[in-house]
Amino acid sequence: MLAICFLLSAGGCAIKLVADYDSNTLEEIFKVSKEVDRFYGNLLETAEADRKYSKYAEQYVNIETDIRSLVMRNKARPLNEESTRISETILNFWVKYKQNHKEKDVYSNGMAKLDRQKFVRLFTAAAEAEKIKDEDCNVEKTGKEIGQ
Amino acid sequence: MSFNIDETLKEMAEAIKAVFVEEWPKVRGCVKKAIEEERDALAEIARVRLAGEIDDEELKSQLEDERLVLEAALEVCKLEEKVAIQKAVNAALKVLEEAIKSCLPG
Repeated sequence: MLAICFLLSAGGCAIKLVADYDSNTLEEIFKVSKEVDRFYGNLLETAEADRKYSKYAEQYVNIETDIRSLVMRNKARPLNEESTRISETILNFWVKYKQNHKEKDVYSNGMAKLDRQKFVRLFTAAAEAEKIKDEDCNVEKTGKEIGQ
Repeated sequence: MSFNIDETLKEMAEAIKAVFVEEWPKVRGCVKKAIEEERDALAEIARVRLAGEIDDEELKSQLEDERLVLEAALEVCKLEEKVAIQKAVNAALKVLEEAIKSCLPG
């Protein structure tokens, strides 16, 4: 009983089920999301016939490095499985689309627009997942207050 | 002053219920939003295919990808659920803490 009192009086959350909010990770999500969106914006501005893979190879590598960094940052935090899975999905899609572009040496407007939109949704999910962790783990109402 | 276990348990249950009444709509709203966004994405894929902007092989690839995008969106809802449970448990523990403190001498 005394141990419980000590735990409860220690401040903060007695029970934690999710990782602590990290503003640096949120900023990183926005930064990488912007890089990916700029990549697709520039690609779509280029005529389809001119979208050879070699022209984009360096950008693919640079962005992949930043996405891998985001995955590692998420994996290193305890109780952070959901955000890790979201960032791994982003990485897997990036690698897949890079490979497609490399093999076919072409990236059609139809596919580029749909893929771009998928990344918008995935990065939005990543940002929302991080912001949820910013909620206070305690609530104001207690049982006594409700009973009054 | 003695520690009233039944009364404390009742108040802890009320604290949990109050949290879920407030938090559960957020979880439901999250799932609803994920499904609506998925519906819109699938409609766009269908439109693009019908317009001939992608072929059948690309359509298949896009649909496979959508399953994973929906899963990612639902990970956010799982987090909402965990936060709701975290708040509920902490609310109940706070009730317990206050009940214990009120019984301690001095």
